[in-house]
Parts: sequence; C-alpha cells; structure tokens
Amino acid sequence: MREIKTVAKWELRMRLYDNRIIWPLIGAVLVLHALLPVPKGWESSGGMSLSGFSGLLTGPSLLLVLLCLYQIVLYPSISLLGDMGKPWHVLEQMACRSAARTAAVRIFVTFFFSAAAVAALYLDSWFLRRFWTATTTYLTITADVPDMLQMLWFGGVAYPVTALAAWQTACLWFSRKWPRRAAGAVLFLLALYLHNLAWHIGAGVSGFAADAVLTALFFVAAVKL
Amino acid sequence: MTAEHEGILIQIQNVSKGFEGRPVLRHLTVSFPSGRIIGLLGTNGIGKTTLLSVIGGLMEPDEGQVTVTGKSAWLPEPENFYPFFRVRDAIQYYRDFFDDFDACRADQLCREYGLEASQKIARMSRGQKERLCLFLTLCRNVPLYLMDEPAAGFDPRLKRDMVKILLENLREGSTVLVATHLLRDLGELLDTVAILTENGIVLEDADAIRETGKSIEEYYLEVVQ
Repeated sequence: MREIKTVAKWELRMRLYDNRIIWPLIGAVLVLHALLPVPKGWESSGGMSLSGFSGLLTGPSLLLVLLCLYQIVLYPSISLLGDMGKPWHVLEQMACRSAARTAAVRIFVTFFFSAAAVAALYLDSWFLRRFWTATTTYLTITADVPDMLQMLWFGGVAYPVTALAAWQTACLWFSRKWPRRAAGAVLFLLALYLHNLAWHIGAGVSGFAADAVLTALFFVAAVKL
Repeated sequence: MTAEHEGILIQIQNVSKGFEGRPVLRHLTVSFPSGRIIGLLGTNGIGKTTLLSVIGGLMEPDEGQVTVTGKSAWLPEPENFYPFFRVRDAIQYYRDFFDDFDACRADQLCREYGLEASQKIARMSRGQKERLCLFLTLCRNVPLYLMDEPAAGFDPRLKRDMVKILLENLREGSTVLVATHLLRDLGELLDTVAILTENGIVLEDADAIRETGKSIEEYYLEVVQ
C-alpha cells in the first residue's frame, strides 16, 4: 500500500505539472462566468442586442470546451501511452516497483483529470443557464444529473478500459515469452471488442456493466501482479 | 579498500544482449570483486552502458544470468529528473522510493556544496546537476554503485571536484563500477580495470598495471589495439 501511495503521489505531481496552464485557464473561465452579472434588458432582447457581452460568454466557453475535450479525449492517451511506450522512465526503473501497479495508479490518477474536465463543462453550462440564451446550445449538453453521470462514466470508466487495451499492447512490447504475448494479444482484442460493443449498442446497463467488469478485472490483476 | 572486504559481488554468466537483431554483449562471463573501484573501459558502442544497465536491472539480458549480492544504486543523468523537480523534490523522491537513502546526509551535502533546496534542477548549471546526482547516489547505503561516464564533458576543476566528492563520501567496503573514457582524470582512483572487447572482458588489477610502469591509459590502448 505504501508503494501505491508513493507512486500515486509522484504520478499526480507529474500530471499537475503537465496541466499547469490548462487548469488555471479552465478555472478563470468558470470564475468569469460565475461572477458575470446578467445585464439589464438581456432577457427581453433575447441576448441579441448586446453582442459584446454575448462574446464574453461564447468566446471563453469555446476555449473551455476545447480544453476540457483535450483533457477527456486526448490527455489520457498522451499521459498513458507516452509513458508506456518506453515503457518506464529511467528514474522509475531505478526505483523497483510493480509495472502493473504503476499502470493502475496512472489510470486512476488520470481519471480524476478526465472527470474534473467533465464536471467543469457542466459547471460552466450551469453558470450560463442564468443567461438562458442560445449561448449554451452549442455545447449540446444540459445540466441535468443523469446526463452528467453518463458523461462521467464515459470519461472515467470508458477511458480506463481503453487504457487496459493500451496496457496489453505495452505488455506485448516488453514481454518476450510467447504465451504471455499471445495471452496479451487475446486480452487486448477482447477488451477492445467488448468496449466497442458496449458503446455501439447504446450501452445501457449491460454496456456499463461490461466496462465495469473489464475495469475491475484490470485493477484486480494489477494489484495482484 | 581492504582485502577483507573482497569477495564476489557481481557474477555474470553467459550473458547476451542485443538490440533489433544487433548483438552487443555476446556470451559474456565475468565476476567482479567487492570493495573495489572498478573502471569499465572499452571503445564507443562496445556495450559498456548495456552491461551496466543489465547489472543494475534496468534491462533484462536476452540470455544468461546476472547475480548481484545486495542492491545497487545507479548514478542518474540530470535528464532523468522530472522537469518540475527542485533539489528538495529529488531528495524527497529518493527518500520515498529507496529505504536505504540517507536524506539527512543528502541535505547536508547539498548545503556544503552550495545547492539550495528550492533550486529548480532544470535551471542549474551542468556541474551543479552532476553534483546533485552524485550526492543522491552516494547517499544510498548499498554495496554497489553503478556510474556511466560521470564527469564526461567537464572542465578540469569540475572533474577534480567529482573525484573529491566520490573519495570523501564513498562508504568503506562498497564497490563502484564506473564506465569511463577519462583515464587521465579517474585512472588514479581505480583498483581494478575491466576492459570490454568484442571477445569478452579483460580484468586486471590496477596496481599490477602501475607496477609495470605503464599508465592505465597505456595498458588500455595495448589491450584494445
């Protein structure tokens, strides 16, 4: 447990450093939209008469959407696959630790960034609801709880399953024993198949369950290895 | 280093290692004694770094067996540190991951040699970074220290500093395996010379070489040619 905590501490610090510009920017947009007062006549004009003010809403929101999508979609892949390709940093190789456990910690740590980005999108949407205008419609999301939970599930659970596939690929790279290679390849294909199937069929409970089982299996295996 | 400490610390049996089909180490068999400073010499690309990595556990040999009695400490390169590291972070990292690390000693050495805890490693001079790497390595209480070309590209004053730090802080009875080309600067330090060639490894007592009236460099050139 001590090793897991220590790895998590440094993995988190590394990722906070990676995102040292992005999160203050996201925070600034949220603060701006939270503090902006609704101007007089805004509701009656439908938000159309004050184009300068409207820009204050849409411009930063677009920036926020781009940054959050980066955090949800791209950053996990960069964060995980970038580290796994080597497979480990020299400094990490020097400190003996379980590779599988480190991978599990990485997925878990990166999940928080994805989940926080989803939460930021919803928070911004919630702040913008005060302006009730079309400003928020480009986000095509509504700030209701089930929708938000679904997004969190996608960002937080679907991602680790993809990471599982990535981990299996990494195993293929640094294992020379053919039975392990073959097992890794089968697991990789199975994980990808189940993951894609779950989301392709519109998910629902069975899709979520498939992802949950795969993710749980991965974490159990990671801790045991 | 006294004879009573001597024994076999590293045993390498029939070790081979190659990269992308190109063999680097071929069926290498050698034993390194304990309690000595061993210079690992050889032409560029002959496999000195590979051999050190295999001994240090950073790489797995393709075949053969490496047995090291006890743990080893690898001298990191400054580029191995995470980009956000300050001096105190590097010390904390070592404290977290290595039970054998003496953090108080590391703090003390840093103060003695003018390294401040808050200094960002990326902004330090090359000499300062190399010093820090040496402190971190020497503050680990292990029987074996592995160093890959320390002080390469240094000015004479920095080289002298490195030798001084090494001599003052090396624990009695410990072994240093150092890959180097700096025979004029580090030659005097060596107790044993190990010359890696295409046909295997030549191990010779440094004092025995000196008694013949040859310098380590002259002996090395003779063997290599």
